Amino acid sequence: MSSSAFEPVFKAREVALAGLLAFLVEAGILLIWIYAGAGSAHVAAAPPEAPKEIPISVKPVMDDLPLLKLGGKKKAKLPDMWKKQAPVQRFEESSAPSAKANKTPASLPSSKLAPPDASAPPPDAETAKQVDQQLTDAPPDAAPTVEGEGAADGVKEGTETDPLKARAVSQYMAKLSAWFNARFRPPEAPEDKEACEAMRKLSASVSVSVSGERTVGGYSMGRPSGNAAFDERVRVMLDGAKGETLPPPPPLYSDILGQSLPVRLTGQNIKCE
Amino acid sequence: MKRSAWLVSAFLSLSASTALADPAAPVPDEGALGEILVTGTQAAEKLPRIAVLPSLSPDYEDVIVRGVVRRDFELTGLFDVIADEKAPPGMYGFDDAVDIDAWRKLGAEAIVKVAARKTSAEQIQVSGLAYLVSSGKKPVFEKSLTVKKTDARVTAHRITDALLGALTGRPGGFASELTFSGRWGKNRRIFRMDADGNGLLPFTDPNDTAIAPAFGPGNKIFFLVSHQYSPFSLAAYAEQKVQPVPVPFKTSLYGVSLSRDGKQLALAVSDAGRSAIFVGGADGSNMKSVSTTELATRPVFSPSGKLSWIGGAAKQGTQRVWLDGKPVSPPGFTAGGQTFCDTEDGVRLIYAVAVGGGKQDLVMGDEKGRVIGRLTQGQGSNTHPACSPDGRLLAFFSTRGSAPGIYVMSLKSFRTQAISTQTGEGLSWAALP
Repeated sequence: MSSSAFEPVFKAREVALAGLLAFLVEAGILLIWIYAGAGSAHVAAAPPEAPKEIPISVKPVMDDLPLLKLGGKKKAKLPDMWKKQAPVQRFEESSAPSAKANKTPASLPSSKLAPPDASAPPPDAETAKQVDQQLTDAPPDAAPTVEGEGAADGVKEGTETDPLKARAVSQYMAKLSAWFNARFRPPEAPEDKEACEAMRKLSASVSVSVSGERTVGGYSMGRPSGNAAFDERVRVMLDGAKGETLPPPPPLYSDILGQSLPVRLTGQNIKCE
Repeated sequence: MKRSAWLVSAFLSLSASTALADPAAPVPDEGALGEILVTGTQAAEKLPRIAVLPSLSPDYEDVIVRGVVRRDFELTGLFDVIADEKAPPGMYGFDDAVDIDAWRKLGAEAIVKVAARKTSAEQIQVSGLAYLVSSGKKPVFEKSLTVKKTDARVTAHRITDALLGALTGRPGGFASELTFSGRWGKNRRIFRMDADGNGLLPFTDPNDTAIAPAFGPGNKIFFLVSHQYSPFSLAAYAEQKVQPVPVPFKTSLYGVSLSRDGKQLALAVSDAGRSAIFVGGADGSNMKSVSTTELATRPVFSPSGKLSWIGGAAKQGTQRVWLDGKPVSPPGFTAGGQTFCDTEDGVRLIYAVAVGGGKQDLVMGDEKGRVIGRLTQGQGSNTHPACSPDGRLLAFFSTRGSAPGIYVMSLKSFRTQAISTQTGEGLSWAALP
């Protein structure tokens, strides 16, 4: 075995040179990053688009279903874990003069004196040294104030408890509305924009009497619009409808057409140029 | 005898088809027929969307019942029925809860669930439930009928009618049948079929000529029949049997009608080259002439008992619809095939008028005959209208789209769909008992 077999592959000088070159490459990359970050070569984030104002017309849509009656029997019950727990009403600890109080120094109360006109808390009330705020929430699951059958999402003025009948009534009212709409022609739109807008706001309330054969018997103008031209069109329409037969109500609910029909005629569909 | 037969044949053609108007004669202004009904202004009146729940049951009767109910709802034209492909994923067994929220997202206002479940080897229970999306997860309507398996189809129609009643306040008219006269072989025969075009059946003798069918009480079908060129006489079909009906007339009959209550019988009777309408008891007693025109055919009673007929004079050559003794169809137009519809908007009189080119179109008027509008235009020849028992659908023969047949039009949405490829005359429609 010769001694050259144990000689190192690289000389110390070559190793030092390689280390120097590696350092220069790494330093060069670092310098390039620093340069790119300081200059204008970096990519800027896209600025968020400025919101544009777009005018929209808002048309309130009336719920034409008959108002459901408020009631308690059908009220949906949530699982107990989802129920809102009743907040505990706590009362601030206070002292009040009492004839039954012990007349010893040790029994003197440490709490502040209650006002002379303050009412006593309930016997089982929880007390605290200090109460931060008065509770305003009503306790959960308050009993309905209206008795009888109805829907939990009904309203106090509602009368209908049968959802199928409420639907049939809604459809029939739409049919009657279409029947009157086909006959009513509001006055021509005035050229003046303000006058036109004013005409769009006109409305007249009328009570139409219905005879036994579903014919229009007559009418009474409950609240005229106040505009002579508009009210004249209303009268023309109703005079022309006298003797005409109204659409029949659905056979399963033939009682929904009474002896009088409240009708409100408006100019809201007049188109102003 | 041969001359007499020719006269009868010619007269029948006159009464059955109004296409005999002189083609050389100038066509009057069609504006008198009223404007064609355009519902564009009622675009806001969008059809309510409903869902007929899919069924995963492999039972034959369940498949039939659901298919029939779905088809009926589509035929009504009252609803936008959500396509089966759009059904949200889920369990669709009869006892599975309905995913109201998922259907609400598809725009459904109401949901219909139907099923046929076996109760024994021969019987099934057909159930129909309706849900209103606004009313929560509990059905607002439920109806179940236990019937024989063979009655699955008609029971499905009855369930549809009940569901329509629940959703609209007016029961449907699909548990019903149609009858008409059509050519079959060398002669005309009388046919009956279900309201959706299923179950077509000719029931008169193929050697006889049978025309002008009309329903009577208990769905007995009255019609006129001639054997070997003999005068047309009255006959009736009930319980799968045809029987002659004795009436005090020896001359040929051209038309028959029974009042809605079945107490009055009207006949168009030939008389020395003319014809007249006679009205009397349902058994043919106390028959009296009531028509005032030289020629009078096709008597039809209105729902309120008024009598209409097709009247004219041989010299005038124009037939018009007469109602309560007065002509009500537009003058100058040959009219025929009138029928009454007890619609959601009131009673309507519908008839066909010749509009030139050998074509006819359907015109609708109110019960007094005042023209309301035109129902068809530019779609072949449309003849012999008949109204469904609920007044929502109008069936008629049409040659539209080179696909002649029986079509059904919704009188609400005016959507028209074919239900049969049969053609003929004298269409009539009545509810099943």
